[in-house]
Amino acid sequence: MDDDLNRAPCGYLSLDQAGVIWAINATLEAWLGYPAQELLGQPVDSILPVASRMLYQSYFTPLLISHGQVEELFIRFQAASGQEEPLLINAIRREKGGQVCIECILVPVRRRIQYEEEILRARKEAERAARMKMQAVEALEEAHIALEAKQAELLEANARLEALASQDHLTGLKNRRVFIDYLAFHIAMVKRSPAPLSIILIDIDKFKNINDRYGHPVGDIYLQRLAQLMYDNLREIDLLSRYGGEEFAIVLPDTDQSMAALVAERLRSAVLLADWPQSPITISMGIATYTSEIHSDVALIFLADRALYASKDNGRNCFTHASELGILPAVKQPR
Amino acid sequence: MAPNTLARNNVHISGRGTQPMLFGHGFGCDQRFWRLVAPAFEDHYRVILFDYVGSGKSDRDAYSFTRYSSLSGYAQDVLEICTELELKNPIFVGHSVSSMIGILASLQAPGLFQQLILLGASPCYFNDLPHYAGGYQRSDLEGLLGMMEHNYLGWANYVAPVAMKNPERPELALELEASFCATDHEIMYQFAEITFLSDVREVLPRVQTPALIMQPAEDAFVPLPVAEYLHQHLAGSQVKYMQATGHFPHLSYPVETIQIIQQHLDSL
Repeated sequence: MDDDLNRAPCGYLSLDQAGVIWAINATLEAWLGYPAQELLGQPVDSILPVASRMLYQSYFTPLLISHGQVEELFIRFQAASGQEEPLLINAIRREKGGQVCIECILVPVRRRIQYEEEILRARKEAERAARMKMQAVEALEEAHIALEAKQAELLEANARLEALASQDHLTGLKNRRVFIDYLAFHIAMVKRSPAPLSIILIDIDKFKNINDRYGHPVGDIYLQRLAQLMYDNLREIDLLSRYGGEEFAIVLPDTDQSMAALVAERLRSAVLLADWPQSPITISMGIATYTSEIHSDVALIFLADRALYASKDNGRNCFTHASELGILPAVKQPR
Repeated sequence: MAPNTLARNNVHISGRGTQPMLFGHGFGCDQRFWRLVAPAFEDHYRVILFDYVGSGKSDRDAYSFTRYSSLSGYAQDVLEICTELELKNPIFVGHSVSSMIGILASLQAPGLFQQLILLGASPCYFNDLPHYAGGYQRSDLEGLLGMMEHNYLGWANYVAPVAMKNPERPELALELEASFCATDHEIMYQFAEITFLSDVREVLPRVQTPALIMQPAEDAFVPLPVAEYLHQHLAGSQVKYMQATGHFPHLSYPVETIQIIQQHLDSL
């Protein structure tokens, strides 16, 4: 070997294709601490720790085969002392005297590697922290999504409860509670800005006979059909409700006595002309219209109820207005 | 499936035969590592070479750190190529980690492959004594990955995130990443990690596809007992111990490698 190369301030190693050491310079031997010439003819594996042998085989060799050279590969060599020596290696693969030869230049990188390890440690720590943060954010997002789903469920359940609380299950009409709320609201309104307001109470005539003759399921169908029939004959602002068993009640905003009578007549004839599953039915109605002498929803309902009873007494299939009863002054305090 | 699997995996097709022969490369390699072996089969087979996503001239943009975080992501590459080309009865030849990728692919698509040819294969590189001697201590493998970390995740990866701390100049980070090819290195490192730390021993008994195990002498990665272990755990497998030495017999001893594959296929 050229004396300059032998003593150059870098390691020099020459291998054959099978990785057997052909030549090694004095500098590298001194770094690794092996006696001169001891390594010649030995496989390079003998001065590589196990992990480095794998790196040599899985990275160094393929790279030499595919690119003909390796640049700046970091690898640890096994020193005679048992210590591992971190080295940076550059290698080329070329033909020399008809044979493939692998020539390597090596430089120790002990200090650099220490810095790099610190950087890698910091990087890993940062990555770990970033990963944990990401996981925390993901968990938070999941929790948020779960919360939103729960809230949606709750809203839906509330809506269902609200419907249950305000609706009559059989006819789909609003129930008595809603009727009273709606009526109270409109009374409050007309007290502030005067406008006509009427209500109608409706009762099916001799409905007990239907139930007794055809059974309750048929009776239910009558109630549903009647509800639909009346609903179809009312305006959007009117509120039709199922008041009790076979009793219905309507709030008619912006409707005076004569208009309420028209509505009642329309309903009466519609019921009379409708097709019924079994025998036909008729309805009796009581109408009351709000005046300044009537102070409450209760009083108005009381009047309409009395009117309804008058209709029953008058032979049914008709309507009566509370004003015809001649009791108005007496109902200022209905209780 | 990716819209263009063939471009993504840099697929090259040659040969005058009809039965497909698919060659899978190992870690740190690409399809060129088959250049001394594959042409020998062009007379009678349809030879298909490819690069796994992240290796060789594959489309780096298709790399996903999630998909390729286990060998089954690579098996997906193989299966998608088979689907795209509508391969019937292909023979899969896998070197090193590709052997296990082939095994996983054969399990995901039962009955697809006619044969698996496993060159320098190991289901697990580390020891699990007393049941299994993979040849290495886990600490050796961690040492190997540690060195690779220095080689792959060097300065570029350190510098790029620092640059990214300048949100007003995002182009800086992009530029740095591009010039240092950080992504390539990260891909290599992840591939190294799953290559050397995977353990697919438990799936071996489920493999139905007949396999030929080709075990070179003095393979630094695969001790002889590992080949024997594979043979015992792969039903209907054959094992062939080669004269060739080293982990890359398809490059260093192509003639013997071709002969053994040829004889095996002729005997079917």
